[in-house]
Order: sequence, then C-alpha cells, then structure tokens
Amino acid sequence: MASVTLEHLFKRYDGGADIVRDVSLEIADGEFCVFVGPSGCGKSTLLRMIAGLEDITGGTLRIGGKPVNDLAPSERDVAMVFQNYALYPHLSVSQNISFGLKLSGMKGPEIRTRVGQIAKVLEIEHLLERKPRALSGGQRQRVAIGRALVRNPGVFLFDEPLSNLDAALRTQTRLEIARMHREYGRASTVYVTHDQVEAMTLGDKIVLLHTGEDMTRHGSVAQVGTPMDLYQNPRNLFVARFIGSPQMNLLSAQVVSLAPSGVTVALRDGTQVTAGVSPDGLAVGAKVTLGVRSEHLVLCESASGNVLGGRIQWVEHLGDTTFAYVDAAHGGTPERALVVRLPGDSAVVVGDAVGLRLPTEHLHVFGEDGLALRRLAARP
Amino acid sequence: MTALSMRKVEVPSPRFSRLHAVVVLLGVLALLAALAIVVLLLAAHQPAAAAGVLAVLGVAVFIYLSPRFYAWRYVVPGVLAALVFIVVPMGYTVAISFTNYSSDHLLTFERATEVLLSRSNSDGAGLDFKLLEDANRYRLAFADEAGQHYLSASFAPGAAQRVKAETVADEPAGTALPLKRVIALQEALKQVTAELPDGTELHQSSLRRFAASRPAYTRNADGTLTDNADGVRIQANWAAGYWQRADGKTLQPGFRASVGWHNYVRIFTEQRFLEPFLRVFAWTVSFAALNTLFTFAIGVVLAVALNWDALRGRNFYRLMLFLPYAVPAFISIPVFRGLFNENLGEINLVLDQLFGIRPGWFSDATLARSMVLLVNAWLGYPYMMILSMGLIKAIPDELYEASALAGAGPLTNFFRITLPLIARPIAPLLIASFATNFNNLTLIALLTNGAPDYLDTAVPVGATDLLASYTYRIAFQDSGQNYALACAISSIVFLMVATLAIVNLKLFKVGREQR
Repeated sequence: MASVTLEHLFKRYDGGADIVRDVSLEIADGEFCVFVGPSGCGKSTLLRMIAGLEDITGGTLRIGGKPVNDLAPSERDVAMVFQNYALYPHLSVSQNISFGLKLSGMKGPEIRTRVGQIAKVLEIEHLLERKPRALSGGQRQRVAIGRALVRNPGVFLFDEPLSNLDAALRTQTRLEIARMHREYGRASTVYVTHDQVEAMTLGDKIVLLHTGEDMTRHGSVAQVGTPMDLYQNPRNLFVARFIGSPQMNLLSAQVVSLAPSGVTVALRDGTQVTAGVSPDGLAVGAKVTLGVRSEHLVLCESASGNVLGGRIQWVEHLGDTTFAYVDAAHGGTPERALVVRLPGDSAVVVGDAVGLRLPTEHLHVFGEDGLALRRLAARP
Repeated sequence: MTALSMRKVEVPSPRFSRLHAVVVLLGVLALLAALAIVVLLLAAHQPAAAAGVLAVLGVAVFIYLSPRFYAWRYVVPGVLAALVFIVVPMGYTVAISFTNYSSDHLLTFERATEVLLSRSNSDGAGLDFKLLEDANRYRLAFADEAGQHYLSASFAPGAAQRVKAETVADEPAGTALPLKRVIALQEALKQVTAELPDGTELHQSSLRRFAASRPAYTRNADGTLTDNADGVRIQANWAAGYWQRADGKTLQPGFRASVGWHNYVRIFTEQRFLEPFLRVFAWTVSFAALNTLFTFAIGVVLAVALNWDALRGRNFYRLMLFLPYAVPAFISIPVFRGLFNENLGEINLVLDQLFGIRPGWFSDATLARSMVLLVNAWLGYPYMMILSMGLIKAIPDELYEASALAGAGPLTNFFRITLPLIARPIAPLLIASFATNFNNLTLIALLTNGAPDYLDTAVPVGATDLLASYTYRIAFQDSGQNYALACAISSIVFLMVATLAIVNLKLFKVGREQR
C-alpha cells in the first residue's frame, strides 16, 4: 500500500566509519524486495533505518512519497518481523497479536475479529491462548508474522526471519511467506537475509549489498535487479561470487585479441578462449578474469575450440546432480578446481582425463577493476 | 569440622604425597580440637553439652571415614551449621517461652532455695568487737551497751570454729588491731562463731560488730521450708514460680518454672498485652509492606532511567545512587536522627525558613512513622535498583523495538513489558525484603527507639516499634525484663517469617518449573 524510496541514505555511528553508504533505491508498491549480502554489509541496519529503529545519518527516506526521516517508528505505517520473533513472553498469543491494535485505540470486538482472521490465515487458531514458550519455533514465527500482518501495514519488514528455523521448516516457511505475499500482499515488503536461496526464491527484486573497500568505492549497493538478472548478468566479481551455488568458476586470463563479436583471452597455460562479451574499454594485454558457471561447462572429447584439458580430482553425487571437480592445471586459479555440473547418472571416475568446453555465449569477463563487460548474448 | 572433610586417607591413591600428609594432619588436629571442646565442657560442669558434642563428633568421624556416606561428607558441615546457628537458638527461644523466665524469676529452683536458706535473722543490735593479737593467734573482745565486757579464747584464723567467750570485769588489756588488719582477716572472721556464756551464738555482722543471728528458714524432711520466726510452713508453688507461705504470701526471689502456654495465652487474651501487640503487629506489617513497595518502586524507576541509552554519564549516576548502600546503617541512621531532630536538625531548620513549620518528627506518631519509612526507603532502594538493573538488562531489546513499532510510549513499555517481565524473578526477593524489614530492629533501635511511646499501654511500647524492637524492649528494657514473654513473641514472629520463607521457596520453585 506504500512505496518506499531511499535517496542517498547514509548511516554512520559517532566517529566511526560508514555502515551504510549512499543507498538509493525505489521499492514499488506491493513489491517484494530482498536485501542480501555477507555479514556486516549493513543490510539489517538499512532495514532498521526504514523501520525507524536507527537514525538516518544522511539522505532522505520516503514511504508513500512522504519523507519519514523524523517520524517515530509507529508513525511510518510499517510492521516488522524480528529475527528472534520478539514475542512478549508474558502475554498469550492472542494478546501478542492484539498488542499493537490495543495501543492504537481499537475497540475490543474489532480486535477480536481481526485477530481471528489472522489466526485463520496463519492456521494458529488453536494456539491463541498459549504463551510463546509453549510454542515451537515455526509456530512462534507464525505468531510473529501474524502480529505484523494484523496491523495491515503499508510496508512489511522481515529481519532474517528464517535463520532460527531448521532446514525443513525453513523451506516450508519460505514457501508460506511467498504464498502470503502473493495472496494478501498489498503491502510492499523488505526482507533481509544472508541466504541467497531465500533471496532468489522470494524476491521480486534483489538488492545485493557489499562491504569493506568495495562499499567505500562504489557505495553500499553492489547490484539491484531481478534474481535472474543478478544471476545472469552479475555487474562485478563480488556479485558473480555471491550469487549462485556452487560459485561461478573464475580463471585469470590475459586479453589476446579484440573483435566486435567477442574477446579472445589466453589462460595461464596458453589455451585461448573466446568469450561473447563487448570489447569496449579493453586493450590487448589487459589482465582480466574469465567466469563460467558450473552448469555451462560441457565435457567433450575434442581438444579444440574453447576447450580445456584436465583431470577429474573429485566427484560428488547428489542424486539429481553430479559435481565433478576438474584439476585446474590448465589455467584455473591454482587453489580452486573447476566445478562442473553434470546429470545425476553421469559415469565419471576420479582420475579420468577430460576436455571441458567453455561455451562462448555463457562466458563472463571481468576487467581488472572487477567490473563485468557487457555480455553480447544476454537479454536486455 | 571442615578440616575433617578433607580426610581422605582411605581413598586409594597412587602415592602418598605431601598434600595427603597435610590433609591427614589437619584432620587429626580438628579431631583433637573437638575433643578439647568436650573436655572444656566437662570442666565447666556441662555433661549434657559435652555428651552432645561427643555424639556429633562420633557421627561426623564415622561419616568422614565410611566410604558408604561419601556424599554426606559435603552435607555434614551445612547440617551442623544449621543445627548450631538455627535449630539450637530457636529451640532455646521456644523452650524459654514456655517458662516464666524474667527478672523476678531469674534463678533456678535450687539456687532460689539456697538463697532463702542462707538468709538469717539477727536478734538485737549485737556487740561491738575488737580484735586482739596474741602471737599469731587472736582473741575477740566484746562490749555491750550495758558496759559488760567479754573476752574469747584465743583462736588461729582459718577453719570454721566456735570459740567460747568469758565474762570479764574490765575492758581487756592490749590494743585493738587497726581496721586495716581486720579487713585483711575478714575471711577468717566470717567463719568464727563466738558463744557467750548464756549460750548466745554471735556471728560477725559488720566490720565493728558481732550479732546474734539464726537462719531465717529451715528445710524440712518433706522438702518444704519452715519460717523460723513464726513456724509457718513454706511450700514451693511451681505454678507461680515462688516459695509460698501457708498464708499465701510469696517469698523473693522467685525461681524458673514451666508455665505451659501461659505466655502465649497472655499475649492473645490479656488486654494489656494483646492491644499493644496488635498495634505493633499492624504497624510492622504495614511498615514491611510499604517499605518493600517504596524501595522497589524507587529502585525500578531509577533502574529504568539508568538503562536509558540516551542518558549521558550513566556510570556517575549509578555510582552516586548506589552510595546509600555503601554507607553502614550504623552511620547513616544516626545521621538521619540528627537531621530530623525537631529543634536542631537541618531538615526542620530548612522547613522553618521556607514554610515556617517545625514538624515533630519524633513526637507525632504519623510523622514519626513517615520518617521511619522515608529513611528506610533511602537505605533500601539501591539494593532494589541494582537487582532491577540486572533483570532489565536481561530483557531483549527486540521486545522494546517491537513495541516501538506498535506505538508504545515509555509508560506502556514500563507497565506492559518491563514490570511484568521482572515481576516473576523479583517476587522472591520482594518477599525476602518484606521478611527482612519485618525484623528491622537496627533501624528502629537507632532511629526512634520506638518513639513516640504510647501513653495508654501497660508495657512500654511506641508508635514506631516493630515486633522485633517491641520484643527487645520487653526482654531488656522493660523494668520487668520479661525474657519468657519476649521469647514467646519471638516465637510467633519466627512462625510468621518462616511461613513467608516457605511461601517464598514455593514461589521460587514454581518460577523455575515454568522457565
């Protein structure tokens, strides 16, 4: 029911370095936006700045078009689900859910109706009289979501809500949050996580934040986009490394020749590979990093045309998928083997000599400054 | 006893180290020390106590040497401490509460009887005496009012002896020993019985006189006494704790006697005890309750304020606010006594300057009680503050963040979140505070001593007296010095506080189960 606009937001504690640096962002009404990043990147701080729990050092925050920098949290039309749920331990589930409604001066009968509706949606009707300590982790999570939902907020904030759940429950709750947002999601949602699977599956939009020197140089935001956009067109090495599991294979290389249709680079052992990226701004001889995702590497017999030779070091059978780790003597960074994603029933054996074809259209090239070159094959 | 706990000689050990030797040595020393106590008790004619110590010692040694009771070794010191410091004093107090022990009934029956039997009646004024020395032997020279002189046979000082005195015509020759020598010979003279020719027996009655005296009472074969003056029989009245003459008159001193529930009955039925007891009880309960309430209220509000992140110099405030707790009550209470002094105190000085009033802090009952509460709130709030600060710190910040998003202000936070969340863990401590203040003798004794006293009661008691100070006054300050009654009141107080303690333990247990 309300869009959220961040204009050059900064966060700095007294005398300290920037925690959040120059974040500008537009979260449309009803959009599900995920803040993701490594620990210490300031994603939770940014969320808390939106909630009003942290002061904004610089920049303007608008909710529904209205600047809210100086408004109290309760005046911002936001509701939040906390990492540890933050349920009041001395109050029953229904009292927990109705706490905010009572404070807002709502009348008893209406409160009961609203609590009843929410309890039905979340399937916690039978728990209403219990105290939080008598609930399981998943149930507490639902109550915490219910407490946020019942206020019918304009903006819905989640702070790593699934991090305290076990793996199975996490998947289930993730699906439910997605379903809830689809069915009842008139509110814009900001969701903070460090888990890229949650980010990829839940978000309409992903905001990847980075930290340290990258932040100082480029601001807090590494890349904003749809999940697939971040996956297919990582803007820089950081995004390429962070999104995707297993990590994108990265090989150091040197530019050999430039053509409008692509860039040819030589790996360390001299193998020449052509990548379908725009040569703009590159010079022959420049040091670059070649990137390729595990599912795009193809095992082959021939030894020519973007093909690397190698030996299989280790094989992991996951059932539906098999990961083969190929000795990177032919030019991978020395400490990392290349990961190849194969079908589950692949009969590869440790010690086999194999050829790996690097498809031109699926290769990424990152310049010396870490920024990606535009991929020619990528959809706009 | 604790040293004994280290005796582990029977525990198999790979080598007998120096530590083992020290431990065994300490154990033997402790054993010898305990045996020395037994010997000392026997020397002090306390065979029952000696037997008790010996029995406890035996049990302790058995427990520490027997591998079967290994776990008990850790419990024994605690059990012994509880016995010595709680069970024995409490048992003694309860036992006394069933007697008539007081200043009128101070002695045991045997001692009181001895005192009566040693009394003697003197006939007449007696005779002046002089002591004449005769080669390390002495003679007594008597002279009566009529001018008649007597001279005793010579005697050597020392043993109890009778000496005959003969009538002599003139004052015997020789110089009388000076008073100094007579005083030096007191012990010997006391044992001398002089017999006049007419058979009258004389005993020394003062430094200058011998007088005829007879024991006032004689013991009869059936245990009764006879008054030698008039032949009346005297019987021990165990209900009253006095020797009583047949005509009903009682003789001092009284003796200790068991009176059953009499003291308790007195407290609850006799108007002159019941009425002040009820007043004191009501005030004690309100004092303890109000004081717990005030200290907790002040403490928790300050704790919340000190936990406020935006407050600068929190450590300084915390230190200053904690100071009242660091000053010993023995210093701060008399200081307050001076500050509240009605004529010279600084508080009345300021009040007089500002409003022209001089409240009678020690003479008006309500003001005195207010002052007591005020002073004790000042003394007690730091403890509550420190406790509350710890408990408040344990409440997750997220709860307040959630409530901030819901629009809760500081008051809502305090009453809907902070207070309910610290109520459960702090409840046992509040009950303990109530129980402590229930017996806060120090405060009353040092501040008001019960003042202002009620004028309409038979026992001395004041408006600010708590049960503890009331008991103290009955036991040690009342002219009656009624120990037994004081013990009975103490026992009642003990019962009430013990009940509180049990309730407290139950609450605490419930709290733990639910966590």
